[in-house]
Amino acid sequence: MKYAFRALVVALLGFVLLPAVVACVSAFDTRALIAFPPQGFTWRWFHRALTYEDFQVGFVNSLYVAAIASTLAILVGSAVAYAIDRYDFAAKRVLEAVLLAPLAIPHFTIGLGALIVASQVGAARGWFVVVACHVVLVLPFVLRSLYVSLKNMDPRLESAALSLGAKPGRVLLTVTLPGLAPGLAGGWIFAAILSFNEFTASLFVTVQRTQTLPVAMYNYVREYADPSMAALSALYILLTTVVLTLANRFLGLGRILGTEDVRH
Amino acid sequence: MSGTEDALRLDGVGKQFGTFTALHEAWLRVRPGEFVTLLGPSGCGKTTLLNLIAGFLEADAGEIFIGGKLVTQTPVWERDIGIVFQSYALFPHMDVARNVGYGLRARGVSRAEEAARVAEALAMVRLSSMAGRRPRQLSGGQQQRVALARALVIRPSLLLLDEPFSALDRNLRMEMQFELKEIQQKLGVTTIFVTHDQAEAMSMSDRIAVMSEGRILQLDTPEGVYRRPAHRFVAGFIGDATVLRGRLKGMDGVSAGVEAGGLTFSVPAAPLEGTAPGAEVDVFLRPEHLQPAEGEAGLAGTVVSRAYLGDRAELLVQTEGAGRVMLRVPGLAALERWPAGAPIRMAVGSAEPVAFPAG
Repeated sequence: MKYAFRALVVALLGFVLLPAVVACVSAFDTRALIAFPPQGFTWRWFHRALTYEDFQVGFVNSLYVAAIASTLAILVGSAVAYAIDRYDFAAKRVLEAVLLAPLAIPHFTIGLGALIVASQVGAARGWFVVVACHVVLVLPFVLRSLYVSLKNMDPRLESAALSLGAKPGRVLLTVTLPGLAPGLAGGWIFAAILSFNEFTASLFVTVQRTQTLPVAMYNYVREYADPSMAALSALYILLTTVVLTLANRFLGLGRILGTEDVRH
Repeated sequence: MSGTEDALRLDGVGKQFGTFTALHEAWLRVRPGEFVTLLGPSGCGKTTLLNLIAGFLEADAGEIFIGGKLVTQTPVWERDIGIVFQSYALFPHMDVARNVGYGLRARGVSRAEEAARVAEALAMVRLSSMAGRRPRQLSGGQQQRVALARALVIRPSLLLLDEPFSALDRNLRMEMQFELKEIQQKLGVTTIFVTHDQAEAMSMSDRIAVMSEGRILQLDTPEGVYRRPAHRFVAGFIGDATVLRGRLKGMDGVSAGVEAGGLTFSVPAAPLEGTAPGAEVDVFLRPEHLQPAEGEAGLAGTVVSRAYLGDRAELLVQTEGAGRVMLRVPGLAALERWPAGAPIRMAVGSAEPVAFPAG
């Protein structure tokens, strides 16, 4: 029974990790074709991935979009999460549903919709549309993260601060926000990673000038089939793992995601 | 109107939640330095009343005065109160010293004065060595003392305590009660204490307001609510009373004679005013109102269970035809003579019970 369970865990892990492992291993293949199992060993494809101009531009674009979109999502999300948690208003359920809706709507629909709206109002396919689209996509995750943080915070903390003579603005800055800091940081990191990896919606709303890294990668595969893609995938995985590990080390993801109860 | 200002005055303060009346017109005057407890079961309105005094809720009716100043419309942060919550509500991202100094910083007190007053407050609660700790590194009792220091360091006109001992275990609770009472008396700060624990209320209060269903039923000293309950609910809630149905035999201006279970009790006349002789009454008996009787006289019964408390024991006795009563006996005698199932005879004890018209 114990061994059967262990075997199941190993099988599951293998199933989840297999594509990533295959891609990473192929990245070192000496042949100019993605194939498995690999023959030989070379850093060549990593070099090409890192020096290819479209990838470099796409990487910088992705960083900017991820940073701006997740910051905006945090600003909007914290205001909304606070309102939903603390106040009772008629449109509360509707607002909640609307903000969580992107989870149920395919990314290409959001990308397509954003594209149509943008062209209707005469906005070119510029940065604004890309960022706005990403904000919509990551908002549900940000909201969830902040909502959990708010729920885990004792409302008596704010009451105590008020009773000690602090005005509401001061209470927000000295008690509420510091209490939410882990949730804010965690939400921001998640939003940034999601935005950084987002492809489907981005494909619709980007142009050559604004293309993000995943879109640049897609365009690359349409023309070439060498292991640069695999090398880039390996780098992607490495970067995300490092960020998540740091986030977990300093913020405690279990707490942010609500899988651990911090209240005693 | 007296010449001295009340520390707290409630003039007909009421609160509705939709169609539910959480608090009926409450009237209360608290003298400076007094320790008044709002006592009642959950849902009696005591927490609502505390929240109204603190300003977390807005009164629908009546006026609230703190230190003679009308504060009914004043926001929480201008009411000059200190609160200790059941959860302590210490700020988790600040160390103990910064927690205690929070109210001083909010008042714009200078750094030097803040440091001095925080040190003084921490010394008062014997936590000077913990100034640099985070709240989660402290025990429950220590956290509570920090919360108390934080509430008192601002020298509030009024100290509000919201079930502050509920989260502590029994031994620590007793210790903290003594400590809190001592600090309160030393500082002379007017205190409103909310609890559902009658023992806590009895041991700490100058006066107790017993509440039920949104009403203050009786406001009196601990002895007053214990010995002269003004209401059936108070008689049943304070102390472990059992009710014995009986008949009123007669009364003069001060006391009345009541016959119940074959025994004749002398009770205060006031609660029975207007009751005709021969009418049914309920006698509220506590363990000290009965004592074991020798021979064949008195109320007969069988011991149902025995709670041995060392120097004494409390017996739950099933009487013949008069329901169950509690009885206090010396501990050693209980072990020898009255195990569960033993027959016992009971006579009227030295203390006087109260009776109310049958309800």
